[in-house]
Amino acid sequence: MYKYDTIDRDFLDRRSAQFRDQVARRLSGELSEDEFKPLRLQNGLYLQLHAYMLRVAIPYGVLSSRQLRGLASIARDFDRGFGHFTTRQNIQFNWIKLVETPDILDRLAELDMHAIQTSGNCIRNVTSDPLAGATDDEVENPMVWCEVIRQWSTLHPEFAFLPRKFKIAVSAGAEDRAATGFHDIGLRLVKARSGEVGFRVLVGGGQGRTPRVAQQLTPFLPKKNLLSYLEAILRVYNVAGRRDNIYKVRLKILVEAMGIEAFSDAVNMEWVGIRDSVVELPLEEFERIQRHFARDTLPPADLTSEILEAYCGKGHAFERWMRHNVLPHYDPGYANVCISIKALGRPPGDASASEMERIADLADRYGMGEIRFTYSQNVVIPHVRRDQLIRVFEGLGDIGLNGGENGLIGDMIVCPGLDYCNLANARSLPLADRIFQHFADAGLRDEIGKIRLNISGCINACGHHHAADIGILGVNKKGVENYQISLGGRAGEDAAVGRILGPSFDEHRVPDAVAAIVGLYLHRRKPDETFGDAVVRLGVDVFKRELYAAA
Amino acid sequence: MPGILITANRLEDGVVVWLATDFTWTETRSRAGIFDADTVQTARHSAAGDQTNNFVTAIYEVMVDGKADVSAREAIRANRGPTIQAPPDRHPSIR
Ligand code: SF4
Repeated sequence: MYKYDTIDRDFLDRRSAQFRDQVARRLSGELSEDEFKPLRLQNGLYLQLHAYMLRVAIPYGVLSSRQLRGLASIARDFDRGFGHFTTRQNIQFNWIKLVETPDILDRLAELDMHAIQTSGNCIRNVTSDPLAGATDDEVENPMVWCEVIRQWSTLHPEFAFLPRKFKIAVSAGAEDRAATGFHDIGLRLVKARSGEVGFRVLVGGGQGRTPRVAQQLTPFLPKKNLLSYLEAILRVYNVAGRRDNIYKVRLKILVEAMGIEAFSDAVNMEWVGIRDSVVELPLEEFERIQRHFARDTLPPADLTSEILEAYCGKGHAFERWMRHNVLPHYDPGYANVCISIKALGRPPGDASASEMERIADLADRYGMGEIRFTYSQNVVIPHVRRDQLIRVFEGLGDIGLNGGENGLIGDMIVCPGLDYCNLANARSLPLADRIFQHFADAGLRDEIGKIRLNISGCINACGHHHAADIGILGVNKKGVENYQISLGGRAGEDAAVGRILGPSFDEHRVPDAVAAIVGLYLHRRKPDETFGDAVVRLGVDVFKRELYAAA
Repeated sequence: MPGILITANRLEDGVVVWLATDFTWTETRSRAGIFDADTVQTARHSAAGDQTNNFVTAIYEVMVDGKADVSAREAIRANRGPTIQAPPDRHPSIR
C-alpha cells in the first residue's frame, strides 16, 4: 500500500495546525458559524442529530492494521467506543466534540490519515474494488490509479469549489465491485485488442433524488492521458454545472441535459488544449507510485490442510463462512477473507473498538497487515493463507463476526438513518434488524442465495437503495416513518436503477412485504437463477401484484 | 401542556440541549421549558443571545402537545442516542 513520505506528513501537520487555529477562533467568536461551517466541512466535520460527526478518509478503502488500531483508539478516547463503516469505504464517528477535533486530527496525522475532502463540494475520496491487487480477475491493480487520482485531487485549487460534491470510482475486475456505474466518473480499466491497457470512462452516474446510471464517455482512454481527461471533464462541469439549482447541480443532470454527445464534444474541446501537456502525470511519478503497490512475495502456502478438510462437508458454520465469505485470491494457496459486519442484533456497518483491534490482529497474524473497507460496509483481510482460514474464523468467532453473510439477505447496506442523521425521514438501522429477524434461519438465507437488500433513511440514498435487488427508502408519511420498496436495481457491470413498487409500508409491515417478494422468487425461480435474474425474467409487475394482493 | 420547546446543539461539543424555564440550557429533555405565546418571545431572545455569544448553535423550535415528543426525530434526540444497541465493545472471550 502507499506509504507517506515527509512531504505528505508535513502537509498533514500544517493542515491540522490550521484547523486547530480555526476551531479556536470559532470558539472565541472571531469566526461566525456561517464562516466556520465550510471550514469544518472541509475537514469532514458535520453537525448531526446528536453531536458532531467526523468522517475520516480511508483512501480507496485501504488501511494498515496500525491505522485500524489507531481508529479504534480514537473511537475509545474521543467517542463512545465504536465507529460506522460507510458505503464510500470511509469510517465515521458519531459523538465528536468540536474542542477535541484538533487533537483527533493530530492523532490521525500520526497515523498518516486525515478527514480532508470527505465532505463539501470537492472531489471526494476515490473508491475502488476491495479486492484490488489481490485477485486474478483484474486487468491491472486499480489502486495505483486510485492513488494517482488521490494525489491529483487532494486540495486541487481549481476544483475546491465545485458546483457540488464529485465522486470517482475505479475498478479493474471482470466483475465491477466498485459500482462505477453510480459515480460522477466511473473508470474501468480495460485491455484493448492490441493488448494496451486503458480506461473505459463513464460519466453522469449517481443516486440521490434523481438516480442515473452513468453513460460511456469514451470506450478507451490511454492511461497516460488520464489526468488531462479528468481535468477536462471537471472543467466542463465546473463551468456549466447548475449552481443555481440544488436539484440540478450534479454532473448527472448536466450530462442528461446536454446529451452525452454534446457533453463529450465539450470535454474534447477542453481536452485538446491540455492533452499531453504538463497536466499529465510524469512517467517517473507514475513509476514512483506504482512501486508502492508492487506485489508482496507471498510465502508458499500448503494447499492440503487437514483442518480445512475436517470441517468441510459437515454443515458447520465454518463451511458456510468458507462458501460465502472466503473469496478467491490470485495465488491458489491464499484467499481474501470478507468479514461480515452484519449480524442479528447489531447495526450494519458499526464496529466497536475491540472488534477493530481484533480485526487488526488477525490481519497481522494471518494476512499481510492490510485491511480493506468495502462498499457494502464489510471488511476484507486480503492475502490470507488458506491453511490458516480456520484460525481467522475462530478469531472472528470471539467477537461474533464470523457469520457467513456476504452477499446474502443479511448483508444489507444500511445508512445511519434517523438514529443519527439530521436529514433522515425514517430509521434504517432498527428496520434492518427487523428484516434480519424475519430471516433469522441461516438455512433460509442460504436457500435465497445472492440478493442485495439496501436501506436508505431518505432520498439522499446513502444506503444505495436504488442499486439494490430490493431497495427500501424511508419516507415521512404525515409525520410517521414509512418505507417505500423498489425492485430491480443493480450496482455491477449491468447497473440499473430499481423501480418503486407502490404505496409505502410502516416499519411493522416491511418484513412481511420483503418476505412476500422473496417468497414469490423462491416459488418461481429456475434452477440456479438469482433473485436479480428472476426479477428481470418475470418483470417487476409480477412482484408488485403479489405484494399488494397480499397486503 | 402544549407549547414550544427551544432546542440547539452546544457549540463546543455538539451535545443536544434544550432551553429551560430559567433560560439556562439543559441536556435533559424532561427539564426543557415549554413556552407559551406569552413567554416564548423572551425565551427566543435569550436563546438567540446565547447563539451570538457562541454557546449554542443550530437553534430551532419544536411544537409539543404536552404528552410526548411528536416526531420520531425529537424522540430520538431526547433519547440522546440511537434506538438500537451499539455493537458490543466487551467480548467475554477476549478481555
Ligand atoms: S440516506 Fe438520508 S438518512 Fe441516510 S445517511 Fe444519507 S442523508 Fe442521512
